[in-house]
Amino acid sequence: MTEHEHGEEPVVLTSPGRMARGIIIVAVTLAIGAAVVVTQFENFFSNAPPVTRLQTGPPPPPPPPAAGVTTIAILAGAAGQGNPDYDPDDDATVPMGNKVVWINHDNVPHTATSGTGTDDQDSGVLFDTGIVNDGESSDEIEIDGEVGDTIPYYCFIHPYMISQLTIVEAEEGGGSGPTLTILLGSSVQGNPDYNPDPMTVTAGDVITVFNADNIPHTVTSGTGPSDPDTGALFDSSILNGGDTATINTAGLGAREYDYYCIIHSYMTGKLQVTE
Amino acid sequence: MVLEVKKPRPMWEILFSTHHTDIGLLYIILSLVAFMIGGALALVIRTELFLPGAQIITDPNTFHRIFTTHGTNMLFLWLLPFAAGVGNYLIPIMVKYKDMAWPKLNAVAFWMIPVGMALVWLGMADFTWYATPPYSILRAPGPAAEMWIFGLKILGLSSILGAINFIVTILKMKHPDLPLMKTSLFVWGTLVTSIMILVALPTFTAALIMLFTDRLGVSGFFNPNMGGDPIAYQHLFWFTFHPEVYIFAIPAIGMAYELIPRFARKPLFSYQSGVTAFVLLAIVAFASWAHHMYATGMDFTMKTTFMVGTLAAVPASALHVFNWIATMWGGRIKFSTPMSFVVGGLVLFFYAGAGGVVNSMMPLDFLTHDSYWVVGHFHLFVMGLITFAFLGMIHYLFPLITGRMYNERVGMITFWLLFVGVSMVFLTQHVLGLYGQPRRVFDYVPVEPLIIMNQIATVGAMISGSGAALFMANMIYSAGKGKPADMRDPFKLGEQYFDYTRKEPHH
Amino acid sequence: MGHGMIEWVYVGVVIMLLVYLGAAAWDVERLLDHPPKDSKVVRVIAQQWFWTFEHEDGTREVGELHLQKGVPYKFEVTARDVNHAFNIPDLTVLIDAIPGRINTVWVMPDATGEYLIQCREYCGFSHYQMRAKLIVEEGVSNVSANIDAKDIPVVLPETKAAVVSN
Repeated sequence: MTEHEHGEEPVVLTSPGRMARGIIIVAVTLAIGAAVVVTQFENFFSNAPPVTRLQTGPPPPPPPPAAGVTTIAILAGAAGQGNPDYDPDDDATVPMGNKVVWINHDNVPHTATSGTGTDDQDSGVLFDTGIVNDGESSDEIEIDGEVGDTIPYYCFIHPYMISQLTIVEAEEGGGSGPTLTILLGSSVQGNPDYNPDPMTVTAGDVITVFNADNIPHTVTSGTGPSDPDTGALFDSSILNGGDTATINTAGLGAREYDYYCIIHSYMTGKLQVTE
Repeated sequence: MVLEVKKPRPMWEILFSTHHTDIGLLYIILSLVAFMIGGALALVIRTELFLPGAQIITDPNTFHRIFTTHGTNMLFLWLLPFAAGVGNYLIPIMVKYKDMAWPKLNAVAFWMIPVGMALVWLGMADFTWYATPPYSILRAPGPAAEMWIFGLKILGLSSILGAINFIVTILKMKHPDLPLMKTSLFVWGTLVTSIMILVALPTFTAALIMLFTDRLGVSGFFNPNMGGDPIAYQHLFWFTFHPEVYIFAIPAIGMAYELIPRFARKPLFSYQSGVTAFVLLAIVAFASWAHHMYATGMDFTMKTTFMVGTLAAVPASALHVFNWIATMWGGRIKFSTPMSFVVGGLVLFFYAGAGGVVNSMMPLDFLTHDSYWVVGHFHLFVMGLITFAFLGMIHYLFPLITGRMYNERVGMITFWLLFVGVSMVFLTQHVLGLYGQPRRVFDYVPVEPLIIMNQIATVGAMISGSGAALFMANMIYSAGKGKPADMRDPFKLGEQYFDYTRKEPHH
Repeated sequence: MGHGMIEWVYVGVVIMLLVYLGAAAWDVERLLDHPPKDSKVVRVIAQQWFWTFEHEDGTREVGELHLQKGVPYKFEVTARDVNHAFNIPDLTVLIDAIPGRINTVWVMPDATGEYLIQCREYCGFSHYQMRAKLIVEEGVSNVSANIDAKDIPVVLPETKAAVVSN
């Protein structure tokens, strides 16, 4: 580190060429940066914070049965003799081909077993849900029979709970239909949102949309909020957490449709309708 | 690019030099580039807000990422590095030492900044430059959020290393015959700023780590679902960032103390009161942080305490303003570009301060909090006072750094464009805020008053933008092809400019 | 420093001005911080990106709030997910909505009409359009049987300040 005397030396100023070289260094660096930003813009913004996978909201209510399934409720307090037990009760009708699900709203286990009571020899032959715990749903039960058949049933654990169901004409397009689930945590950008995605259905299917998250969502046709045809083809409208809605694909031609959630427009999905 | 002596050095030698003038120059170039690209983002924001509805940006997420990056960039990549650059260039000269105390550390501190800059810009996080939880923990998508956190960590570390270097240089390396009370007020400003950095920054460093571990889910400091308190982050953040706004401002005030006495051709009114005001401001700056948090539901006593703390800082700023005005009073003022910028900045400083007093009044804050009033207020500080002082200083240092003179007429045009533009944007935004338009909004209620004021602000922004572009053109062209300056007195003030012929060894 | 006197005078004037402003602010804030005793409570719940209001009698309104003119209301404000801020610009109501915490603010609407409720704290994607409608209607009776007459805030015509006697 020697010392220089500057007093008598000529001062050499930066030449334009050297200035230009300096500017090129800066410009090239900025250009490389810009290229990375522009091409990777979405990628740098796509993962939900890891903590959202650890959060648990309230447990989602059990999913509803798909279309083509009849539900019968086992009422709260049904275990008490003389209390109302099944709803609908003796007047329950099941369209031909539908399956039946019993949902237990009581706080003790119950069953729905075909027959008139525990001393019925054919008890449980036509159908038997087996033990359905409190707060849960039974499996989807197939009912064998003809239109017009009335089948009595009772609860095996509390045999004073008796009811009956009658088979009626089949619904149009009977049979279980597809379900589109809006996933828990889907409102957080970067988390999985719709399931299945893409979803394939046959034209005429009635899709059950089930919101398994705990905040409202929608399933609205269109590519996004700036799409002028938003909601023109189908719209579940606002679904609260735990609710279901149906989307009828009868009028839709066979092709792929975009949909999104109008509240959280980064949630998008595709619906493929086939003939 | 530097005033080259004997023969030009290879470019790479300048890039990796540890000499304070080279590093100062690198800081200045980086900060000016950041100023330009951050300003481009601002023009995008203002264009989008020209009319209600979506204009050039269709996706709110992109808009949020743009304003977050604009704010982060302007504060940490323009204001701080420019001050560090000018400090690097001048402090060793002013304390009559050959370089900074630790030249290699100086270079390390500089080179951390491009890394932090890359992280912030590539990610473009969306959670505003405050990064307030719970949004930044629970919702902000990554990896942009993590990149921002790490980028700021690195930038904070760079600031701290630079601050240590300045403090040791000024206190320990100054010439033995030079008492501290005879160093220029710019030296005092830098010293006080550096000490404030050391006291204020560690708190935010801790908050950043906590934010990161909260995002990972391994801690729950600010996550209400895990028993944490989001307001705790705000306390940590503002404990750093209220003093930080003074850290931004004090170097600019120091630069004003360099320029005003020289261009008024009159001695400084009171050196003593300048030093007092700096020290007072630095101490009181730490007593007011929660005035940013009046709306979080603080109890009455706490709000009162912070209001008193905020108001206590006003007399210190008032001392500086008085000093400058008293210096100019009766002087033979030459309004060349540097002086015009500084005096224009002083005018805007007054409006900014007045607006600040309004904000510190507890009930009035509930009118202005988180609205465009706040945007107008702080921009009058950072763009008005600080940027104008910086631009004045860069014009003043131009002959020292390049040996050439910039075009004075273009410089004055630049000043007027910026002054008119900045006033149009930010004074209007005060009124806009009173009409209730919140800040950080992609769109606004489409009513006449809001639309007109937004349009005025956009036009002002365009005027400022053209001023800034003209400024860069002037600097670049003149650095390469400007007329060689008369190095004894380039501004024709009748007194000595910097003595560039002093002995100084090169590394 | 023979010319030091003028500086002391200047600083003295600045300090006196600030003390005056600070005292005035303290005085007004005292009113704002103490809701009248028998204010009706309205719970305000903010979440991404809409507002839910729950009245004392259990009615819940989403996106709209109906209040009566001349009745003091105390808002208990909280959030479900991230920070929001409850703001009625025309009535100068502003308080943060923080998850895990209940903040309070009070107001007595003094004119019927429709007002804007908006979110005033950045809360993500649809923050800019997180709005609700406030509808202030003529009260059934301006004085509730339970409100003591001296607890009703009185608007002073000269200053438009709301003054509660206690």
